[in-house]
Amino acid sequence: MSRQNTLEHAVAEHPALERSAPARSGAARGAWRTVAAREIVVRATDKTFLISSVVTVLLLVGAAVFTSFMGGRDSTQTVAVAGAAAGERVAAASELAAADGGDGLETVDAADPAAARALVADDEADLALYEDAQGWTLVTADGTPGAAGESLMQSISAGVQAENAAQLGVDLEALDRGAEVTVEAAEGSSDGAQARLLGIVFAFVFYMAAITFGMAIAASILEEKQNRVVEIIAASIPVGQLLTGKLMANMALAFSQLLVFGAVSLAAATFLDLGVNVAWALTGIGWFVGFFVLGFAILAALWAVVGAMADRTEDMNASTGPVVFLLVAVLAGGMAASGTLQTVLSYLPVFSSVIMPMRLVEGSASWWEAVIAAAIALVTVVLVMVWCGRLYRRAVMRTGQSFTWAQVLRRKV
Amino acid sequence: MEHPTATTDTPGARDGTPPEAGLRVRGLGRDFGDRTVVDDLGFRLRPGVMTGFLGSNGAGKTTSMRMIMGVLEPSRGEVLWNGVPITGADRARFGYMPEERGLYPKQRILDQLAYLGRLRGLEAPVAKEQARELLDRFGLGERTGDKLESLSLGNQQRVQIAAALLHEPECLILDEPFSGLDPVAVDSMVALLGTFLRRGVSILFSSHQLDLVERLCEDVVILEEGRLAVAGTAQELRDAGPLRYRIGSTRDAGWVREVPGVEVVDVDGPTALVDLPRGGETEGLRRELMTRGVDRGMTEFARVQPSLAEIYREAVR
Repeated sequence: MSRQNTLEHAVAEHPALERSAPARSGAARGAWRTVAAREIVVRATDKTFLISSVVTVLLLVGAAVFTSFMGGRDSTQTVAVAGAAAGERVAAASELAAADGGDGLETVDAADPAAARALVADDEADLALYEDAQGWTLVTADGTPGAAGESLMQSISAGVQAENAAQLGVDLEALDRGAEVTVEAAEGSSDGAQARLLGIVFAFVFYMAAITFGMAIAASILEEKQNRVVEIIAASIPVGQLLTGKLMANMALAFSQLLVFGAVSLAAATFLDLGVNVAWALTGIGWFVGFFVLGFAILAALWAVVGAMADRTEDMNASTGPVVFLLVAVLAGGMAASGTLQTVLSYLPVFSSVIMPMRLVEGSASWWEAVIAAAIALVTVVLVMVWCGRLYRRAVMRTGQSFTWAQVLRRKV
Repeated sequence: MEHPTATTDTPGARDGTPPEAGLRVRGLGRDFGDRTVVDDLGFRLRPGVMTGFLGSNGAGKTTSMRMIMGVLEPSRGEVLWNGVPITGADRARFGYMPEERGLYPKQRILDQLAYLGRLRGLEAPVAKEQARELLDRFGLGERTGDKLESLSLGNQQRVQIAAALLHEPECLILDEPFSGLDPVAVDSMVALLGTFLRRGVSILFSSHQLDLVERLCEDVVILEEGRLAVAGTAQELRDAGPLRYRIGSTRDAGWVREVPGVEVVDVDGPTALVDLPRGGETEGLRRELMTRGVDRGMTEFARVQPSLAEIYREAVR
């Protein structure tokens, strides 16, 4: 009896297995899309990822609210006035303050100076103002004028001077000519402080994204290696497609996360009226996003090699060293570099992802410098992708030993 | 004892299947640095036939299978499918079960299988449906939404097998598929593979369980230190062995030593093993043995064919 007969009569037919070969879709060249789709779904439904994203959004909103709260502490001040003249002065001062974008002043009438003082002592008014034989007196709780008090004093001095000038027949305008002093910032843009802050934000965002997504890429690759899933996949599609899919998915996720965070921050800042110049911020962020993609691509490829080089999770810590060092250097460069060093770094790939946008928002770089830096970064992306792709293909199938960067660079892999 | 020679690497060429059909490996070799792991390997898988792939650990079986599946690049030689060099598209239609098992532990089993199906070129809904049916057949129909790590090892193994069979492959390359399976699971796996054989799928599987290979395989390929030791149908290999007979008696069987022309392999009390030469004298010697035996209380006179285990041990000696 032949072999086939013995097997045959032991089998219970399952109708599905009797069908002819099922419909098949396109070639393996598009396989990276399937890989990327899976990576995105798995990551996006991962609890840790979702929770950290939500927490970050809440932190951003919280920071905006906090800033708004701190800024709005200069609430409307109440002035206790005794006498009509005092009331007029306060009204005038309040108008000036309002025109400058500050908060107005409210008045409370008091019968006489003593009553006005009492109101301040009893904490029912922030300031008291009255005119007596000696001149004007401003009363505050602790004797210091404060911002509102200063503006009142200025307004009163100006008003009295104007009166005196009129009485003396002096042209006030002629008197004041050339006495005005304008205040300017040392560097081009007047949004100096904001630019600095935005730059620091860029540096941190880049660092955090590169670390979290990078670790995720490396861990995922190592998992596939440890579980031998990579061998099954390698038998179905070219291994390079697996890498491409992974990198594309992570870049798409990082990019979307960035957009969401950026949109949330800008919306919060605008809604809470933090005085952020949205148009200017958007240009800066636009440049940052573009450079981010380039820098992140390079790092993602490096992280992929980190994952492929290791054999077990414990080994991975050693190979993450150089990449993390690079990221810390970028962060430090972003925070501390200035002058020539900053200019040079703004052209260096990966560094340029943080420092060129910083220079752009600070106004110390022009658009064509940015284009050159972007071109350099783009070329680097291509070269790194090719090199890392080769390393990945060679290292990911080898189990039983992990590789070090030294071996990789000496071409022992 | 005559060493079974390597027969032609087209076993069963007489059975009518066109010689170009199916998988053929020619001159395949692979080096790792200055270490040659596989060298000048050539054999053929007949469609609809189960081929056993034998060899000691380190003989190069896994490396050969990986080269066939494109997981490793050969250093030399070629892999042909239906007469032409194999392509990625062809390989996507193969089923592969690597020696070391593993899928994504934290992913749901149905999702994973559907994903692997899509990677092999199935349309998404088809992949899902096929996966569901296979899981159903393996008794995991209720657990399609469970994570792999939550299943027992036996069930995890079944999912692994499903991953290899999902897309209705044209050829199966299985590296130690029966390791870790209990006898019932082995039987059900065998039955399942049988359905594929009937559809003309060729199956290559490696195993250390020689009794299983003996039971299941029509063709055998034996590797030793990276080189082909033996290839042929199991029957040819058995036939190529010595013409051996076992003689059982009620009394001592020592008398066989007195028969001229007979090579005595072993005498153990009432049982004796003898080898007869092939050629003209065979008939005469057989008659001589039977005649003498009848007078001396012979109870058994039977042809003994070497088991696959014996062929294997002889080949890798």
